[in-house]
Amino acid sequence: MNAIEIKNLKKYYWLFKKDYKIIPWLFTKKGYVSIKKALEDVTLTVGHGEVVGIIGKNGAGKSTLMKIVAGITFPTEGQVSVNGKVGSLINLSAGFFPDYTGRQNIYYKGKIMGMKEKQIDSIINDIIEFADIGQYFDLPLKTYSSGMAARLGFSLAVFSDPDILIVDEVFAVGDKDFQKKSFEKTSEMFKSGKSILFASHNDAQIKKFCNRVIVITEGRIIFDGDVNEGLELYNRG
Amino acid sequence: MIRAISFVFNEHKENLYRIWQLGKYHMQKQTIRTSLGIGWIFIHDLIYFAVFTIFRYLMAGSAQVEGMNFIVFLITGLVPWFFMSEVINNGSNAIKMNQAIISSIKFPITVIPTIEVMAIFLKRLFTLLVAFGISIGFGYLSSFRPLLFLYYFFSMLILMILFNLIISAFVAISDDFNQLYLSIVRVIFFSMPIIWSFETITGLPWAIYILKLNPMVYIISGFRDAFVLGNAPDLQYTVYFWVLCLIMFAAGSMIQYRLRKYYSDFI
Repeated sequence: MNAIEIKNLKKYYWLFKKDYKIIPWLFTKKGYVSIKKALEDVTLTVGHGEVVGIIGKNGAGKSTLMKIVAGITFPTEGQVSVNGKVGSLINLSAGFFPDYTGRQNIYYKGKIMGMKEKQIDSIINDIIEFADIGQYFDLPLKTYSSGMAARLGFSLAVFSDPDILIVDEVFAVGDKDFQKKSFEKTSEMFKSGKSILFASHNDAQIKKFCNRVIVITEGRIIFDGDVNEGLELYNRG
Repeated sequence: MIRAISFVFNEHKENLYRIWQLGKYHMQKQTIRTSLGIGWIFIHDLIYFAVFTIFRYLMAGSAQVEGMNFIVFLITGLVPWFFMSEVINNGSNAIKMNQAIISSIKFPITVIPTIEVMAIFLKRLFTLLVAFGISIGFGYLSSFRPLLFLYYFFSMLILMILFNLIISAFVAISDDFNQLYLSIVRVIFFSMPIIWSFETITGLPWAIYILKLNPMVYIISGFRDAFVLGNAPDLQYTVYFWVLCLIMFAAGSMIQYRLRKYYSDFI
């Protein structure tokens, strides 16, 4: 069984002028202003241990594809099957609660992600060490800088030991030192046999990590295969 | 329909641990910044009890109601109402207030309303202590029926979970509904025998009949039975209550099953 299997996936977003028009739309499919076709007929298979780079312009559908694989948003049509626990490095500090301390937030978000108390106990020291935010760990999250909150989120995501990892341009987290550290940690994961979807605009990173690349334009996959060929096609425009 | 029901049921069954754990976290959310923490709930309750007691006293004097001291009558009605009103007012925002989770983490969406009900119930356990204290103070210890109480407490929990399954979906997708709903809630409070008794309208049996269609009346009168009166549940009314719960479960499951796909896109 493959890690990710996607068949004829479509994802449309209906846009409304006012929210209340959604309700009649649910029954009649009328009343919207326009349809945004984020993904159109996407078929993709990712095997275990494959590191797939996803490249495309802003708005091409990369994020939508990743969100669907992460189970955050639902496909409009088509089949998606994901085998394994998905960890996503998208929106790192989402789900944190500003009045809880860093420690409480790790337990809280860990439980949202479906972990048991004991599982979190066993990784909490790694997280403390990796996030490296010192005494802030036991202060409320609202006292953090946004970089610190993202570091905490990043640490939880990587130590929760996912089988499939979804990475969306996260190396901009924190300061230079932490960027280096997170880069190393992610590199480690990239080499540990996990299946990874990696969206980036950085050619060097794609070349370094990926053994396959897909190019998305206007919601369609226009290239799937060798990294260098894909990058060349994309950069040609 | 069967698919929706079994989906919602299984999602709950598989996530009991999450419901319990996250319920505990959400319980603290409102009071975590304060010095007294959950103690504030206690103070709120005492003030409410006092205000309603004075109000009722000014309105109708200190005569007995349905054979109970009027303060005990009030409190045994107010306790379940505190639980239910908080679910009605705050719990119904469950989907909306957890939007950050829905739109960024994979999560079993249909259990979110249940988590909020759980949080409210845990938080409100203090209210029960107050009620116990006051009833015992008035010498009603010997009339307390623990089994009956557990039954009605459990029924209240189920009713509120099902209620919130339906309402939180509507509140999430429609602000119009939210406005309408909040204005209706005020009316519902006064339609229930919490600060007044059905005794006062015995001349209007049809009115009592209609008011009793509200399943919350079953819970409130049940609490009075458990605390003071000791009557066993009325068979006909009990059947009505549970059939209504089944219908609510079916309706709520279908609504959530359909709408869960849209929450992360539209809210």
